[in-house]
Formats: sequence, structure tokens, C-alpha cells
Amino acid sequence: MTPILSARAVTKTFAVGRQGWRRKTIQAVDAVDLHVHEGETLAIVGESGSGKSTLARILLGLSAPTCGDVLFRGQITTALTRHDRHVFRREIQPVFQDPAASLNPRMRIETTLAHVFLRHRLATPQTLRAITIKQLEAVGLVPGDHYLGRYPHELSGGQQQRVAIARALAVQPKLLIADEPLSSLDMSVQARVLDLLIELRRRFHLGLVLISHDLNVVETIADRVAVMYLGKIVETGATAEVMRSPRHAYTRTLLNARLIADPRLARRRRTEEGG
Amino acid sequence: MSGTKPRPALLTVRQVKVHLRVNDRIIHAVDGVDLDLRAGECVGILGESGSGKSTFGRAITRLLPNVALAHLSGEVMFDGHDVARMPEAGLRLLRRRGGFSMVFQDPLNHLNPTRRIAAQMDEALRSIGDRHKLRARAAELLLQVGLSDVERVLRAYPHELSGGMRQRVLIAMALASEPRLLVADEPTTALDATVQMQVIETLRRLNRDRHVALLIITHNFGLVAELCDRVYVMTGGKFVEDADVFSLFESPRHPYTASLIAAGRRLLQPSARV
Repeated sequence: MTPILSARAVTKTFAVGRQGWRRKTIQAVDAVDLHVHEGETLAIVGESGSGKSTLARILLGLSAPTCGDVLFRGQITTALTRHDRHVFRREIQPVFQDPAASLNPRMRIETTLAHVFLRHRLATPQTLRAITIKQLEAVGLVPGDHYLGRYPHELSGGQQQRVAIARALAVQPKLLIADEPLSSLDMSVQARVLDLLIELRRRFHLGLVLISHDLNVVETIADRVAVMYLGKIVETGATAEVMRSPRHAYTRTLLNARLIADPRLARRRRTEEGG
Repeated sequence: MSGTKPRPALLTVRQVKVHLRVNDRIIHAVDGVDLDLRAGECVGILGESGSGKSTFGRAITRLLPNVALAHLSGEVMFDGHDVARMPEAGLRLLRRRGGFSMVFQDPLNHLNPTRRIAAQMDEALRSIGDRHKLRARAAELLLQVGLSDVERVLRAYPHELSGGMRQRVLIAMALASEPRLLVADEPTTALDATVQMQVIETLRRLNRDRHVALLIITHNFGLVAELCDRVYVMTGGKFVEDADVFSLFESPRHPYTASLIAAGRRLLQPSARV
């Protein structure tokens, strides 16, 4: 089966100044190959600066790779026909880290969602209100009409992230690309949004590319994991397997850096490490 | 910790209330809170955003803004000094030597982007009256928080350092006055997983080797589980539960605590791997 989205030797180089008359560059993403199938959850883990967010932007088509290709259902995204490009834009949707920054602060929630429905001709002015309410309730904002007239700043971080997810799902995408969707949220809220993602994935047979540095979240939700380090994918495999027997040193460091929500285990680990 | 004689009380908080005036409304951000912290102890305040935990942290270190906007009542005794009613001059003395310091969540917002770390460390040291051998003292503080490449860090501008290094620079500055209490408001929230562990290790070493008491304000159960001896759980401006960290995680008494811990387990312990 053709993967819904794949990257083929994707490289992104940024200019970071000059050294004499030569330009200095860094390889933020360095010859990355990966693929996601429909309905699959792939986690990309790595620390800040490892290039994972740059990779996410390239997969979304928000940024062009310096070389290499992104393929949507086997076709190079830069050479899509007008119709296919529209399908690509609809089927692959983003969720970003900071929900406050990804919602227009001067737009009511109703308007934010209406733009999406109308642009993609998924609603008529008559059905718009009912569809918007239904969409809000699908992400757990119940009752939906309660939220229509609100502005983003009137909502909590968790609620804002739910609106951002509702907007992404409005066009019935096949794949969400979520860049640290939980890390700006409180922990108890993180757990609830994580449960929401798991439920939505099941209900809509949704694929998910989850960018994260939190291996606990990754372990809960991902089928496969790719570990990025300095722009390269250094390890990839089924989540359980990577967790059980990490091959790359950096993966082991990440595993050891996980917090444990149990004071006894946390202290035992510390004495074992001789700390 | 156990088996030693009880340590003297360092911080005693009784019935502290903070009323904030927001748009002509009065908000009871902190609503009658009692807390005890002994010398060298590590205590956590666990709460969600909006629970009043950060306001409380600023209240007891007297970092709240103007009296007209924020009103503090109740008793805050730090080592025999009544901090709640202390005039600025007294506070300055307490901040200068052996009192308390505070570290915040976002290190980038608390460093001057246009000045090198060395200049900012000097300023921190001079402001507490330390005028001699500034560079040597700065280097010593940076070593204390586990930064090894001290020369490079001192020469760097804040943007040239990683988030974890910046946070440790701020902790180093907070340590300039040799405080007996360090109040840390979400000290690791903005940091990567691996870096978070390094900062936790830094705080733990300060507590263990230098006997600096810690008050950790956070929403992160993992941080509390790793670091704290005792925990207060805060919601709606009140503490709903306080217990030692083990019994809090094993048998929470208040339903709110139980729900928080269930959420934490969900996120932090999928495979119980140690």
C-alpha cells in the first residue's frame, strides 16, 4: 500500500551568517526518509534543535525542502495538479504547540471555524451554525453553542487546543501533523487532550504524526517512533521495541530522562544511578 | 533525611490571603493559606494554572506589584522576621544575604538580551553588596549549578545559551545571596526532557549538599515525585491537602488530588520502566 505521506531524502539547510566570503549554513534536516500509512500514528522525538519542527513544516508543505521530496500518496507534492493539491491541503492538517498563537485573537470561535467550512464548501450559510456546534462538541466542548461567541483569550489553554483540533478536523483530514500539541498545557489537561486524540483517531480512522520530546506521551499513543538527533533520524521502529531495547545512545538518554509519577520508583532509580 | 533531629522552622505562613484588583473586581487569588517549611526541606506546591500557586510564591517573597493592585494579608514568618509587614529596607537586607531568592519559569524573559552573562552576574553580585573578585565568585556560582564551560558561559549572550543553561544561570544568580530558601516557580516547564533532568539534578544537589530549602511551585507531578519531601495541593486559592510525598501518591485523601495523580500516572508511567 502506498503511504499517505512520505519524505524522500528531505534536507533543509539554513544560512546562519558568513565566514569571510563563504556562507555558513546548518543542516536542520539531513537526508530524512520516512513514511506514514493511513490510520497510523508515527511519533518523531528529539530535543529542541534536532530539526523535528522543521521537518513537520516541510511535511505540511509550509516550508520547502532544500533538496529531497515530500510525497502525498506517492506523488511529489510540488508537482501536484491543482485538484490534487487541494486534496493534499485538505487531507493533511496541522495542530501547533501554542494554541493561543494559532487562533486569531480578534475572531470569535464561530468565525474561525466558519472560515474553514465555507472555504472548503462543507457548509452553506444555513447549515453553518449547526455544523459548527457539532464540530465543537466532537472535541469535547459541550454544549457547543456556549463557545460560539467566545474569543480565544476567554478560553483556557486546553479549550483553545481543542478549538485548534476542531478546526483541523473540520475538513475531515486523513492525517494530523501535531507539533508538540500538549507541551504548553497543564498536566491534567494534557491527559485529557491526549485521551481526546486517541478517541478521535479511532472514531475517524485518523493518521497522526506526533512531534514530541516526551517519551511518555509517545509510548501511550504511537505505533511507530522515529528518533531525530542533529537533523538525522538515528533510530526508527515499533514503539514498544524502541522503548524496550533502544539502540542509539541518544534514545537511551531520552528514556532515562523520563519523569516518573511515583516518588518511590523515582528515588530507587536515583540510587541505582548512584546519584 | 529520616532519623535526624527535627530541623528548625524556616518559613511559617498563616492565613495568607492575596486580593488582586482586576477591572474593578476583587479576585481572591490566595484565600487563607497555611504552610510550614523547615530549614533544608524540599516542599512542593502542586496546582493547575489559575490555582493561585504563582501568586502565592510571589506573595511570600514580597514580589507582588503595587499595594493598590494586590493586597496581602496574614502572617509570613521567615526565620523570625515578619516578611508580610516588613518595610522595603528590611526586605533588601533579607534578599542580600541568607534570605530567600526566586527562580521563574521562562529564563529568557528574565535575562537582559543585550548584555553578556558576565555583566549580569556582576550586577546580581553587586546588588547584594559583593564587590570583590566578582569574576571568580561568578565562576564559582556557575560551577555550583553544574555548568562546566564557565568561561564560555560568562562571555555569552543569553541567546547563545540553551534553555537549560539559561535556567541554570538564573539559578546561579539566585544563589548569589546564599539564600536559605529558593522559591522556584515551574523551574523546568520550558525545558526539554533531558535538560529538565539536569536542572532537577542541580536543584537536588543544592538541597542535599548546600542545605538550601526549596519551595517548588509546579503543575508537574513528576517533578514533585522526583524532588519533594512534602507536598501541598492547591486549587481555587486554597490548599486542599498536604502530606509527605509518598502517602500523597499512594493514598491521596482529597478527590481533587486523586484526579490530579490519576492524570499524572496516565502521562508519566505507561510502562513502569525504571
